[in-house]
Amino acid sequence: MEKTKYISAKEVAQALGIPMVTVIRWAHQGKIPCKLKKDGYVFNWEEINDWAGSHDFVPMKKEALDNDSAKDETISLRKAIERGDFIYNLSGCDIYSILKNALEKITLPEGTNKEKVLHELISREEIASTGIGKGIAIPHPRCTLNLKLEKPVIFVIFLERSIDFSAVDGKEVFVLFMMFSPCTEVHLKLLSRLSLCLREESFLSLLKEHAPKEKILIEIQRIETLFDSQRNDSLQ
Amino acid sequence: MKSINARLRTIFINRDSRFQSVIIGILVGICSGLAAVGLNFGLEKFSRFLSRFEGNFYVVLFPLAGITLTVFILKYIIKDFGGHGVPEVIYSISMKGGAIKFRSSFSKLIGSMITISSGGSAGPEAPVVISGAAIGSNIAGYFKTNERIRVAVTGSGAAAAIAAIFNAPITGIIFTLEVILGDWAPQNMLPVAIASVTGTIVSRMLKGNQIPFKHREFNVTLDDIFAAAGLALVIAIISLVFIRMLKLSAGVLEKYFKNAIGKAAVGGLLVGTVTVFLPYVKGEGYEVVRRLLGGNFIVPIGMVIILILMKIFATSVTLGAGGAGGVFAPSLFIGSVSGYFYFQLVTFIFPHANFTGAPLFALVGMAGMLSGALYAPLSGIFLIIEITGGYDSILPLLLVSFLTYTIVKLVERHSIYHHELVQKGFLLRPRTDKRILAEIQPAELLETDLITIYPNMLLKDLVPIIERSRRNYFPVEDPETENFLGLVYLNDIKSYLFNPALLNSIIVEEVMHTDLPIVSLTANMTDILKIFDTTGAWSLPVVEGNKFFGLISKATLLDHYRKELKVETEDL
Repeated sequence: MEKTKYISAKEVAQALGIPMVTVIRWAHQGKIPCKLKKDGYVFNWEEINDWAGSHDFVPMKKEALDNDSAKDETISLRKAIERGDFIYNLSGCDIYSILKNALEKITLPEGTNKEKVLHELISREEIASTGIGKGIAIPHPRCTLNLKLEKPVIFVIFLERSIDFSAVDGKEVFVLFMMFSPCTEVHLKLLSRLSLCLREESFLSLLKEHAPKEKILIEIQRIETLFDSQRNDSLQ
Repeated sequence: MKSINARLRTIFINRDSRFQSVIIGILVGICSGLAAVGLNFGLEKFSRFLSRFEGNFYVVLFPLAGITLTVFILKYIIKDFGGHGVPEVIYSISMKGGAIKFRSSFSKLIGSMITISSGGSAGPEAPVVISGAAIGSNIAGYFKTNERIRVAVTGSGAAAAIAAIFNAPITGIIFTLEVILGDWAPQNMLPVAIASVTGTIVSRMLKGNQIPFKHREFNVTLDDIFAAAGLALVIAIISLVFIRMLKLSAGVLEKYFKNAIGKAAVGGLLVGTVTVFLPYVKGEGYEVVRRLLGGNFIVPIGMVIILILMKIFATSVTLGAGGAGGVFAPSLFIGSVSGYFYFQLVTFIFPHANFTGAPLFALVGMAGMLSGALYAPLSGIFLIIEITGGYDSILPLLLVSFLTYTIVKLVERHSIYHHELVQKGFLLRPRTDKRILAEIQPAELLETDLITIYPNMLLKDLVPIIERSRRNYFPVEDPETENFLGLVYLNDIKSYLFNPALLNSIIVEEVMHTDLPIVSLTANMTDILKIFDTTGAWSLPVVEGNKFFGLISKATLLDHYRKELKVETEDL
């Protein structure tokens, strides 16, 4: 006989979006299908799913139970850059040629239509420049495209010579952080982390001297760890 | 090796709930049936024994001795609660998930046997109902069923008891659904029906398949049906007198006699005095009912009125003094005599009308009284059909039952079984607003993802906290004692946040709210909702022993309410 797979009250609570106390009370009152084992109530995943359906609860996804850890992982700028690449001395005389040349040098997930990506990047620049000042620009597509990205990727691109990017402070841009994110939420989080780094003079000077990949990554790591530890401190 | 007990239990625990309820229903039916037949048998023996002394002057003291003994045994030996029992069963079903103490399964049986056979005016049905319900509840507890099943099984015990005592399976089911459970949900039907059938079988095996009240067949005429409408009014008035008298005597005896034994003695003496002059009102009074239905109970109309009033008086005093027993049998007595009284009245006024006879009116009066005094019209109708073995009187039965019920309800909103529970807020029927609110506990709604701040923090220090927080409320705690001081609303301080000068000068203490209504972890939802309504607040802090536990928000409460309602309304 095949052994039925049971889930705990906590998992039921998570999947249905109700407090665990309520799930246990319902079990006790007989309002939700369950079995009483020695160490408490257990629930059959399929029974619960049927029950949720017939009681007008949003049916739960089994993956939701397993994927919880992935969601909790904090977004790390360093990891996103590590997933991408560093490009030095990219040539180009205007925004268009720079973006075009950059796209040729980077690797995106297989089957990506680079032409379309370029179009998206350009149209984003047309709305408002992504030059955020201090000689830095963060070109990114308007929507997430169909890049089939699971995790964000950032390419750091140093230009051969600075160009006019119509940046907010009017300064010429010398480095690009080209960002591809799976969703807006991740994109915004990365952006806030990047702006955090850009506040640091040490980081800016590393960029200005086109420092090697390793040095920059170590610096980002330093800033991020500092930030995370401060955050945890105040949370406790 | 496992004990037999443990093994028996595990066989059932993990089975389908329907299977569980069938097995438990049969068990409960057998036990409650036996209890009912046992009480019946005991009453007969006891009464016969005591009837030997009839005619002696000292029988006046019998009810005194009986009621005092009953109170003594119930209060000091078994230590069970007083009252007639049915409200306690309904209370446990409303508030305790059907849990009833084991001692209740026999305490009222013993008590009522003494009270009734010694001459106290009360019925054996309520004691049997509470025993049956207690048996059901304890069997369910033994098998560790969930609360839903336990409630149904507790009701089943009551159903089996009524079914067994009257040899009336349908009445058992209807009485349970109408009065005890107040819920016609499908999941209750199966165990209740099974127990009712089993209880009836037990009763038939032991007592034989007899119909308690035989009568000649009726041919109901149109005149009878017209007269029935008037009967409803008479029964309604008498019902109201009965209900008021029950309340009054309990209140008066309670007021003047603090000592339970003293109260019992005085009550018993009063009952004894009445019964010595009017032996008809003794006990459950079924002998009179039987004679009335047989057509051989003939007394003058003045005497009939005295009989009705004295029965009401004797019953009220017996129960008010602490005697064990119910109002079911007295209601049947009063109903039948009132029917007889009304028959005499209408034949006097309309001597030429074509009435079927006194037995029909007595019969219909009984059903009317069950609607009027117990608010159980369906139980009354089915009881009369079953205990008289006939369907012929159905038309006036229906008419009188529902008319009486409606008239009485105009004056008294709740039956004698319910009114006290309603007053105390203990009557929570399934799928009502009150019930759903009562189910939800504050702990289930607690929102704890808040970041605590301290009174001497600068607004500037709040900025990173606000950045991180997902909520717009910030509880303020005393840094040393960790006591809750108040709440800061983001909305209040929003405008200062963009002003650098204020950012560095305002402290939390100056912007926190301290005059908030707070909620305790044990508060009930009805009260919490009331606070929401009166204060217009959207979130309330939950504070217990000066410590902050979290917030309860109106939105979460209503979201939870809806989920509870969904779970409550659909059966499994």
